[in-house]
This record gives sequence, C-alpha cells and structure tokens, in this order.
Amino acid sequence: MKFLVVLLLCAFYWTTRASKKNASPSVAGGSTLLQIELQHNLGPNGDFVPRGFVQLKSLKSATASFHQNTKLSSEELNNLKKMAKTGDLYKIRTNSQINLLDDVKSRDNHYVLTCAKACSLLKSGLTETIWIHKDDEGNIYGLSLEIDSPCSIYHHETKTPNQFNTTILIDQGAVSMGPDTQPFLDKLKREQQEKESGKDNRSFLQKYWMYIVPLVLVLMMNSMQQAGGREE
Amino acid sequence: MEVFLWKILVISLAAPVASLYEDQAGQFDWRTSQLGRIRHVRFDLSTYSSKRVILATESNALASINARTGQIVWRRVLDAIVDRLLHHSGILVTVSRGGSLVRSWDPSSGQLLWETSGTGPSNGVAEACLVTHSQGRGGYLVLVWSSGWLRAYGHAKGKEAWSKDLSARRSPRENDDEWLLVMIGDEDDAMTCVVVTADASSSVVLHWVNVSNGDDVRPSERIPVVWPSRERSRCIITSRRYLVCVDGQLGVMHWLSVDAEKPQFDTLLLDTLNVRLSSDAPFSLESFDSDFLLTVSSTSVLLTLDAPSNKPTVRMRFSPGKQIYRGSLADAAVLFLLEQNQNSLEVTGVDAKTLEELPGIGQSVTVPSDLGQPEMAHVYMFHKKDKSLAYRMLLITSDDALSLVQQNGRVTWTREESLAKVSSVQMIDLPVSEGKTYLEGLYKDLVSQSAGNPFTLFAQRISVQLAQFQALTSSSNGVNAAAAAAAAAAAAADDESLSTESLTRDRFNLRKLIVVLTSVGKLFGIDSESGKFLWKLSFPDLVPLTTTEKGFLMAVQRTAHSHPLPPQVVVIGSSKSKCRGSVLYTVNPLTGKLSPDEQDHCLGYGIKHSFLLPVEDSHSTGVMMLIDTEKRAHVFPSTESAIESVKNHHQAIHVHAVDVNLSTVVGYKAVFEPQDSSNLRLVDAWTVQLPSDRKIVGYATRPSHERVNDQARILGDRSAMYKYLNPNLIALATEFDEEKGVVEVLIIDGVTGSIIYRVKQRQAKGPVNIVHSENWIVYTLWNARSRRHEVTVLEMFESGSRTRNETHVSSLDANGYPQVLRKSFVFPTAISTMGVTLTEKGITSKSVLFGLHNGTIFAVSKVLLDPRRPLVLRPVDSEEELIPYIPILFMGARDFVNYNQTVSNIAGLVTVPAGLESTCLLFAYGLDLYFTRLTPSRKFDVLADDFDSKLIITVLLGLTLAAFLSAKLARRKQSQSAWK
Repeated sequence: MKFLVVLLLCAFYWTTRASKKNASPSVAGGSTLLQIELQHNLGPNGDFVPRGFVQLKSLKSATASFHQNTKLSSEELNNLKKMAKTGDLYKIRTNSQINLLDDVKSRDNHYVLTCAKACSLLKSGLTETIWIHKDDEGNIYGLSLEIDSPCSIYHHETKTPNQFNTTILIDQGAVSMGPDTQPFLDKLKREQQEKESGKDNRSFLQKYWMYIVPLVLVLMMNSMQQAGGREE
Repeated sequence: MEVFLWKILVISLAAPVASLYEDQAGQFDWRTSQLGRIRHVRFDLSTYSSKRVILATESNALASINARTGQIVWRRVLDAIVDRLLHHSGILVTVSRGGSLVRSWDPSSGQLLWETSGTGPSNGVAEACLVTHSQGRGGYLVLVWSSGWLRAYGHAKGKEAWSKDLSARRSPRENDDEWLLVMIGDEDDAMTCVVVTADASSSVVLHWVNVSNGDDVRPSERIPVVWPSRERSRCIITSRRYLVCVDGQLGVMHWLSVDAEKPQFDTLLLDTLNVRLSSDAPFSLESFDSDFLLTVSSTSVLLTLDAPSNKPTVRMRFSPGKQIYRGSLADAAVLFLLEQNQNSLEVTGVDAKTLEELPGIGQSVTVPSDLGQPEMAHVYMFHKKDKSLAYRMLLITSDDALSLVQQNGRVTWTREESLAKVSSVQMIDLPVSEGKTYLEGLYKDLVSQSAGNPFTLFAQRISVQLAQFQALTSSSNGVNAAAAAAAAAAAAADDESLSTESLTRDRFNLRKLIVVLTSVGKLFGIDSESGKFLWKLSFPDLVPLTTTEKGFLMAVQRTAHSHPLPPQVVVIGSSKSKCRGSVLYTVNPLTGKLSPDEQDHCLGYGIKHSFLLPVEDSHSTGVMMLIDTEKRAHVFPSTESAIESVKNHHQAIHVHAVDVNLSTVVGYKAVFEPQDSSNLRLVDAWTVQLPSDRKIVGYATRPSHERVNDQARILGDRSAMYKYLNPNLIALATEFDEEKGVVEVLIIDGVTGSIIYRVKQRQAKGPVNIVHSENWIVYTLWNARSRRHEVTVLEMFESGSRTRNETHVSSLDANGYPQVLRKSFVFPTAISTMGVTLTEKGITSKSVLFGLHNGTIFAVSKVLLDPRRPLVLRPVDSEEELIPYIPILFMGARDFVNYNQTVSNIAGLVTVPAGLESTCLLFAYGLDLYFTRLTPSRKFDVLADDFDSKLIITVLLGLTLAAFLSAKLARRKQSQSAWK
C-alpha cells in the first residue's frame, strides 16, 4: 500500500517535471499548475507586451519560478535603453487574479502594476527580485520589483544580456492574533509559582534573629545595670 | 550631540502627557458646544419668563437655549434621532426609533423623567401627539403610533394606559406596508381621536378611538382612493376636521370631512385651482388652522375648505419666492411673509382671518452677508405692555445657522450649527507683528547696503541700530497695549471687537488661526486663543463634490511666512448652479475675504483629486495639481512660473489616489508631453488591487511637515536599530465583512507601489482607525472573538545591519524590506478617532491620541505603545528603559486630555506644532469644538510657574557683593598684618 503511494508520488513528480521542461502550463497528473502571466512596458510606445510567466504549484505554495517567453528582442532592449536614458520607469504588470486555467479569462480584468527605474534594471544586468503579494484565494494584491543597483541615469556599459535573471518571492502576509494575553498570563502564573516555591521555610528564630538579638542584648544590659546598681 | 543631549532630557522627562492642575482648567483650552442642524423647534412657555426654546436636531441633540442670548441652558446628546418632539406646558416628550423609544424630559433642567423602550420593531414611521385625558385628573396622554400599534402613555409616569393593534384590521389580501398619514387629538372633542392610516396603493382607513380607554367610538372606515406613490403624496388635517391629501404624481387633491356620516373622498385637479404641479416638482402641504398652504417650488397658495361649499377655494396667492409661516397668540393668527432681498429680509405680516396687512408687523431685517437663504422660520408671538402684538422669529437658514430676529430689524444672535459637522480643518500660523517685520526689514537693509566705505557703513549701522532700539521700545509698549486690548476684547466678549489688526503671532507661536470648513460649505476663521469667530464666509454656490469621500477639498497654498504676500487657502467643491464642473475659491484666511485677483471660480471640469505639490511658484504659492474626472492633470495657479516649477521637479512628483469603490490604490507620475511642453499628463506608475469584496476603511500617511530627529533607537547594549523612515509610505486598512470578518492592514510604498508589509487579523471588525507617524503605524479594531477593542502598533526598522546616513532617500532605489515589529494591546473602551502629537523639531516624545466614544480624548505615550516591550525584562532591556509588556493599555485619569470638557460625537483630532518644542496644539471636533495645548514630554523648555527669578537674582547679586566685600576685607587684613 505504502509502496503504491510512493510510486504515485514519483509519477506525479515526473509528470510535473516534464511539463516544466516544456515550459508550457498544462494539466499534469490531474493537478493544475498555476501560472501568472507577466507583462512589461517594452513594446512600441511603452505598450505592455508579454514578458513571461510565473509558475506556482498551488494557491498556497510559497515558492514560484519565472519562465521567460523568449529572449528579449533587440528592439525591446533598445526601448529599455531609451527609457533608461530619459530616466523613465520600467513597469511590470499582471492580472489581479490567478487564473486556474489558461482559457478562462478573468471576469473583471484588473491589473496590478509596479515600477522601477529602467537604468537600475540595465545596470544590474537584468537581475531582479519580484515579490508577488497574494492571498490564499488567489487574489494578487500587488507586485514589487526590487533591483539592487541604484543609479540615476544610464551610461553605456558592458553588453546587457537578453535574458532576465529573476527571483520570484511570494508574500502571503502576516497574521496577527491580537494581544499576547496567554504568554502574559503564563508569566504571571510562573511568577506566582516562583513566589510560592520560594516561600520561606525557615523557623521564626532564623527569620527574625536580627531583631531578637539586639532586643535580648538590650534587656541583658538593662538587667546587668540594675544588678550593678543594687550591688552599689 | 546637541540632539543626543536633548534626547536624554526628553527621555528622562517622558511621563504622563496631559495632566493639569485644577486652576489651569480653561487657561489654555476652550470648548464650544453645538447642537447640529435643527429639526424641531418649540418655544418653551413653561418657565416664568418664557425666554427659552427647546430644540431637537439631526445630530441627536435635545437642548434648551436661552432665547435672549442663544446660549445653551441644557443639552442632552441622545443615542437616536428625535422623530417627534411633543411639548406642552411643562411636558416634553421625544419619540425616537420609529416610536419604540419614548422619553419624557423636564423642560427646565433636561432631566430624564421616564422612558419606555423595547416595544415593537424600531423601524417604520412614528407619529405621536399629546391629548388631554378628561376622565383622569386633567392629565395628558402621549399617543404614539408605532408600526401598526397605537399606544397611550400617561404623561407623568410613562405608564402604558392602553394599546391597540390597528394593523390587524386590514384585510389579509393587502400586504402592502401600512403607513400613517395624520393623527389628531382635538381639544374640543377631547374624548375622540381620529387616526388615519393608509395602504401604499389603494385605500385610506379612518379609526375613531376613545382616548381614555382606547375603545372604538365608531367602526373604522375604509375609503378607497387611487394612490400612486407614497413619496409624492402629502396629507394633513385642518382644524375644521377635513382630511386633505395632495398627490404630486397626478397633480390632484383629495379631501373628505372626517365627521361626515359616510366619509367619501372628493377629488379635484389642481389645474382647476390654477396651481401647476408637475410630476417632479417639490411641493409641501401645511395646515394653517382652518386653511392650508400648498407650496409648489417656492410659490405658495393659501387654500381653505368650508362646510357649505365643501370645495377648496383659493384665499390668497403669494408671489413666487415668498415664504409663508404662521404665528398665533390666543385667537389672533398672523401669516408672516418672508422674502430674501440682497442684504435684508423683508417681513410682512398678514392677518390670517381678514388677509389684511398688519402695520406693526412688517419690517426689513438687515441680515449678515454670511447667512444663507431662510429655510424655516418659527414665530413666537406675545403681547407687549401696550397690548400690541409683538413677535420673535427663529430663522433657520440654508447654512444650518439658527438666528433670532426681533422687531427692531436686527438679528439678535446667530448660532452656527453647521459647525457640528466639520468637513475639513486647517490651523494656520499668524503673521509676525508689524514691529518684528520692521526689525527684520531693517536688518535686511543693513545686509543689502553692506557695500560701501567703512565710515558710511558704520554710520548706517549706528542709525539702523538706533532705529531698531526705538522700534523695540515702542513695540514693547505696543505689546503691553496689545495685551490690554486683548483683555478688553475678551471682557467685552463681542466677536466684532476682535479686529484682524491684533492678529499677530505671539512669541512662541501658540496662537493660531483655525480655519474650519463645514459640511454645508461655510468657512469659519476661529481664534485659537479664545474660540471666537474672527470671520465667517459662506459660498452660496458651493456644494460637496460627489467624486470624493470628504465632499470638499481644502489646502493651505501660502502660509503667513512669506511676509508681504497674504496667506492663502483654497476651497474646492462642486457648483450648485452657476457653472459646470467644480468651483475653486481662494481665500485670505486672515481677513476671511476672497482673493481679489481672481474673478472666475468656475474650473470647467469636475475634480476628483487634488494634491498640494511640494513646489512653489514665484509668489511662494504652493502649486496644486488638480486631477479631473477624465484623469487629466491641471496646475493651479495656472501661471507660467507655477508650470515652470512643476516642470523642473516633475521627475520627483509622484501622487496616489485611493479609490474606495473599486478597492484600488493607484500611483501616478507626472509627465510632460514631449511635443506640447505645457501639457501635464499623469501616467500610471503602480496599482495595488484589493479583492473586490474588501472595503478600504482606513488610510493614513505621515504628517507632511513632520520632522524626525532620531534616526535610530539606541539599544541597551549600545548598538543601534535604525528606523525605516520612508516618507512615501501609505498605510491602508481594509475590512472584509463576511461572517466573522477580517481586518487587513497594508503598508505600501507610494512611489513604486511595493507592498512593504501586510498583516491580517481574523475575526476582527471595524471601525478601524489608523495613524502613521515617524516609523510606526497604530491601528485599532474590534476583536469579534474576544469581544474587545484592540490597538496594534507596527514599527519599522531597517533590516539587517543596514545603516543609511544619506539625507536623500529615494523609494526608487532598492531599499530592502524593513523589519516590522508588531504588538497588540487590549483597549478598554470604544474609539471614534485617532491622532498623533506633532512638535516643531520632532525632539519631544510622541503621544498617540484616542478620541473615545464617550467624548474624552485619551493620550498614550508612544513609550507604552512600543512593540519592543519585552514580556520578561532582561537587564539589557531595563538599560534601554523598556517597560515590561502588559497586554492591556490602562487608562490613567491623568492621561485624559480634556478632563470634563467632553467632545460629543468626536469625529476628528487635528494637531499642529507650536513654536515651543515641548508643546503641541490640539483641535478636536465633533458636536463640540475643543482646543488645548499638549505637552507630551511635559514643559521641559518652559520655566515652572513658581520659578522664583527674583530670589535667584538677589541671591546672585548678594553673593557677588559678598565676594567683593570679602576680597576687599581680606586684602586690608593682609596689608595690616604685613605692617605689623
């Protein structure tokens, strides 16, 4: 039985790998692969043209990978360089909903859009990190494009590659549980216990000897004086 | 270094915010109370002097005001709007929530005498009346109709005398909702009360009810009538007991005599009376004793119905624009005809019986120019000593003001009730005094003339300094004179005595000008020192914008700091009639006058957003960018220099707009067209799209002029945590209102649209309040699972060991994501609004201000709202002076800013810095207005009141003297000993 399950899993793995190799989103092994199409504004007149797609294993998966459609054409590269020279913004966008199937067009076609400096992208050699901010239901809230090469204006440098080096990170957002009442109560309980366990088990004399001894001394002195007085 | 020392000082002083001594109450703070838009007016004749008016308002207030002064005698802010107000000789009854909540009040003190509640559903139309109850001891019964039931309560104790289900009597096939037309309790026929109900479409039912026990006097009658629409029908009963209904849809009038053996409706086309009532014109029907008044779009006709003819006849036609009100005294009844002229209100009195004009009544009342059109008038008539008729008239105008008109042709007092609904507030610095500007001017002269030979320069310098000295001495005299004048003005307590001449900045810039724009589009200039109006300005053509949430947009384009030029405030709204699209007014806030250089206020396009850009034109006017509904950008002022300055900075201009309806936030970048360089265009830079079922319920950005001096927090181990001080952040609170609810807070970068942080809390609901200041965000929500209010603080620090000492921060350069710390606290009570203290240099520690549901303002030091508060205090933490984490924010009595001066229905908190670093000025608005000073770190830069400077000076002088003397003595002694 166990063996069968393992076998099935292996089969599933292979089929998914195969589909990845083909770089085409398809139904594999009965489960669908989610894909998010990315577009960028490298078309003529800054129009958005397809850039590639991000593949997700499931709606809840926290990792994803980027697949570029085709290499950047020289025209697109030139557009990018032109934008970098004028200080324009390089923008990427995607649908605000992850479509389960390719042929299902989303009903309300909203885009989420983000931007970065075009010169930064060129300077980094098309190396970037894209954050996809989404929730478990497949809604994409927004995109973030992070390029770690600050620049103000583009200068001709080395040859730029025509392939993006993209890291995709998925942000599912944090969940707040409200005030940490339980740890605080635990702490109070612990302190109470410590108080109780650290309770003084010493005897009365052990605890209060510092008061008793002087009192006794004074009394003794007194009685000695009285005795001395009588002797006189 | 200096900053660091300051910081040490501030930290050591960080302590409760706002406590003050008993004798300081009212020294730095003031409160004015409003009532809201007036709905019901009753002249209170119960008190001996009969000088009171009882009012119920749309802001749920019930109040009694002094008719001579307009001052509030008592006020109760209720939890529900007053549908009906009954008042008769010492009885005051309010009916709320569709008749299910009946309360009786003592008219002289406002004490609640009794209340009934919880009977029947709280929706539907309520109708109520007071009837005499002859079988009892001359008492009154309160009859209340509430969703099909008629109930009678005794007026003294509120005991239910009887109740009667009238809805059950209709035939079962008609399941339209039943509604009540009129209810009368007639004085002559005290035992019988006639109740008229109607179905939505087909019939009217008359019930004759015995008042004392609720029995039917005669069987109820169902009378068929064609009744197309409930909204377009009005019915009244005249004193001759005719039921008159006007159907606005068909333009017909129906009437019947209530006392007839077999009541039957007669119908007449209004056209036959020469009254044109088109199907969409607004109209009203009022009962004037035996007559009734039909007003169709500002033209009134007085009609009557009499027994012999049994036909409505026209008694009088009034010219268009005349408003008719009725006043009566004993058996005399007067119709008051009101007509608004340019700057006066023409009042004419007509005897209701003879329709002859009464000579003693007519007058022309001069009306202040800021008062709106009259909308309602209530007349109180009385006999003068010589037995002639006299009257007072309470006038409610379209700007929600309540004024009293007396027979001397004057408006005696005006209450600005629109201030109960504030739309927008700006606090403006006052200009420096004449003397100071003179001194500054002299200094400038000296600097500019510095080229020349040394002798003339020296001579000039001497002369300038002499002039300065003269100016100084005269100005110090002037200061004293001004103080005396201010005291006199305060004593006179008259608004007009405060001229704009005395509007100068004080030494520590503690006095500001508060410019308040109310929801009816009236602008007020209020002196922050006293709370008095400096000026009022109404814009008759201004109505709220439909494209934005706030209704009106207001911005300060020029402050008082650019001296010879006057400050300037911009008000944007929609135009009522004059022009297409939006209107824009520029106002000088010191005088309350429209700027003279601009004639045409029409923009010609509808405004969706407006942004005050951080650039100025050549006249140091802040440049505004206006976005119209077609997403085109316009520059205002549209001068060459303004466009030039925008063009110079357009690379750095990023704006964003929150669209609540579409649940999106869109960022734009300003771009100039390459071919047409004067044409400004916006291009989308980023979009954040929330799922369509999310509602955007909160939005916050950092205060625009906030300064942050500490770039980092020093930890106990002497390392530093650098604050993430991105000035472009937008904090967004969203609510998902399904089943248990979710509240999600997003932090978005306003330039790139990156979502910096996102946190959601399940089983949470609004109302959500959110504020953002420095590197932290505080928001509040309702935890539906634990059933409590919670406050969460998010604080952002640079991640890793990244240090950034650049002064220039750009969101477009990779910044990395900040490390966000989060901590939640239980808050003991409901929160209405939030604010944050703001000081000039940003050195003083911050406090978060909570405007609570009960009207108090509660200040919590940021030290307590710290996500780094540890559960268990380690030695390192105590070195950093962290406070151990306790999940509840306790409310100490000393942290209440406004002691007993509560601000009812608190809606907003506005803070501005004063010239003193320790002091922040707070203006809170709701039904009341409240202003005070806050010192979040106490008055560390102010000497204490009991600081004894005289003693210190005498001691110092004495010591110096003693030192001299002793030195002399010692010397003499030395020389003497040397001679020996």
